Amino acid sequence: MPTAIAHLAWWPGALLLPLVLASAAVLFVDDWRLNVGLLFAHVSLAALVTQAERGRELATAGWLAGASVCAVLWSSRAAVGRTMAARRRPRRSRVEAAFQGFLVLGGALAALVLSQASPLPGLSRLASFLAFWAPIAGLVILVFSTDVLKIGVGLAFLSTLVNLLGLPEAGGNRILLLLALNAVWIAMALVVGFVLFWLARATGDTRVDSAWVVRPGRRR
Amino acid sequence: MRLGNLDFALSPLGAAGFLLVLVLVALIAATNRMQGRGRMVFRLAPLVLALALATLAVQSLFVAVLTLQLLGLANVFLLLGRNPTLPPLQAQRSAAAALKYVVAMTLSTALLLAGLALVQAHQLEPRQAVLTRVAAAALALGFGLRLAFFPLHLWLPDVCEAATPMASAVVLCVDGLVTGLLLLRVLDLYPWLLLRAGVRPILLLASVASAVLGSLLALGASDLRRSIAYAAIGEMGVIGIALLSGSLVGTVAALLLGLNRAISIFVTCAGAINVEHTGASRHLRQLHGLARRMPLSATALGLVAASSAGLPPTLGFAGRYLALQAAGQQDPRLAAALLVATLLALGYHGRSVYRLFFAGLERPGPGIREQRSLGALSLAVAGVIAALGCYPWPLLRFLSETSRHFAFVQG
Repeated sequence: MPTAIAHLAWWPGALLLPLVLASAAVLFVDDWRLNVGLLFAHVSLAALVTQAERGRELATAGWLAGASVCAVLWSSRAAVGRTMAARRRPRRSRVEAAFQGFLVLGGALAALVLSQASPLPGLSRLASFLAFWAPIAGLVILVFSTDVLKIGVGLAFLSTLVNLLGLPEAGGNRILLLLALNAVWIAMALVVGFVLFWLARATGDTRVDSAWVVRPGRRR
Repeated sequence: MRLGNLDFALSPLGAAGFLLVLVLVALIAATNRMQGRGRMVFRLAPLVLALALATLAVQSLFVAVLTLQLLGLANVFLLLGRNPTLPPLQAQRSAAAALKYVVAMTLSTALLLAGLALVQAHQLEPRQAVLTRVAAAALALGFGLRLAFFPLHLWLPDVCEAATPMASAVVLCVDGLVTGLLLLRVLDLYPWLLLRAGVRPILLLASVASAVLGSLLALGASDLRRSIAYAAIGEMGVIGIALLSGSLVGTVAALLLGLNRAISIFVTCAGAINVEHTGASRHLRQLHGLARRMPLSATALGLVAASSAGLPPTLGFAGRYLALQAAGQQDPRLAAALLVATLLALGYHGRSVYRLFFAGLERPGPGIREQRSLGALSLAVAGVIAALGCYPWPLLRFLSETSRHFAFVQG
């Protein structure tokens, strides 16, 4: 991976469209294998940008952590799928799909405008776009997804922002911080995997209720 | 102390905070043991304590935020338990609540790390005013989410409703205490975040809204577990007002109220678990006349209610009195808002005491009996609040001495 990154460092601008598409597609794809694959694509593309901006060390660490998160999520979901009864997923209505598409488009435009108007300190406009876009895409996925795996994917998107902003502490602490940071992302994936197992054992499904962010009905 | 490339040092306040965390975790584990519940708390207690100690002692703020995130992730195992034994609908709610907690903690960690990275960049380029505001906003959002300030509080009532009261106690007491102490360290290292970044009025507004709305929502709540969460949000708002006054009196008040909040939440959660263990309903209206069946727990709950409402001679009275004084020096409108929040808290806690001791129309069923060991433990812990309220001087001296050195404290 690092040698491939070194050759592609001159080509970061072309990564913009695939990055947006890979992140946005997670929202519309229901197959869990594709979702994890799209997360892996996002992590790899983000590593290319990070390599160009922050150096090979941070990019490789971020890519390894992202790949580990993908592996944990994949293996958890695959293990759950073996014991879980197949259930029909509710169809997404056209209005809902249009609204989500509108939000993704708005998010991408907002990230583009922000990155052009005020790029983050020490980052190019492309890297600033990614730093703004990744958390926006992650938040949209978190709000609209009810599948535990997709929620894990949405959370993993947030790691891109932190990796891009970098860890300014100098000296030997930098490596330690890098390890600690990536260990935390992997621990997060493990916890999401635990919730996935727990839910599947209790209900035979991997989805929480239809509106998990704001629950319908009056609750006091 | 140096471990590898990391420096560890515990300040007097950090040491006192860790001691409190240690006592609280021991009490929570003992309470769980008395209830004959699963051993998850026992298994996780060493990990929780180690992570809390690491967060309080490690000098690198980045590592402290990461260990705090690990502490939050460890709490998920407490929230869900090892094996699902709930009916499918309740299991879904529990899983959704645990996910909300994970999402809130992870978002908060990302914001805190981003904020700290920007703060360090700001030290290199101090003239960038926009960057200062962005960094201060990221840190404020990160801490606000973790401490459940309005309007970032939405995850907390659902988590408290779905989790067992002791798991809620860990989230509210242990996590809240460690996060609060980390916030003090960040403010001490970067006082300009409060003094120059221009976010103070917004934070004050959020604190006032938390204090007033938290008490209002607690007043309207009908579920025992949700009412605990709303009351905790209200108390956090009062702590925020006191801390943001930036004075020595305000900081001491915030620390006193933080201590009072941790003890009150433990006692309330212990009372809730005692009530639930007997099979009584969690609906607050069904708890009328509970003092006749559960005298020890009801007395303990009455004591912490008096303290949380700010009645003398309790620790809460000392904290609210000093907070009012600090807010009055800062802005009379702030003092008025604090007074309103205190009156609302008085109404909520007064209604709870009335229900427990004086209302008797809907009495609990004849089979309800108190678990005396748990009641006695609650009463002993609640007694600490009264004892510290009657003789607060050594505590006040210690808190004044430690707060005097904070860089953000004026005067």
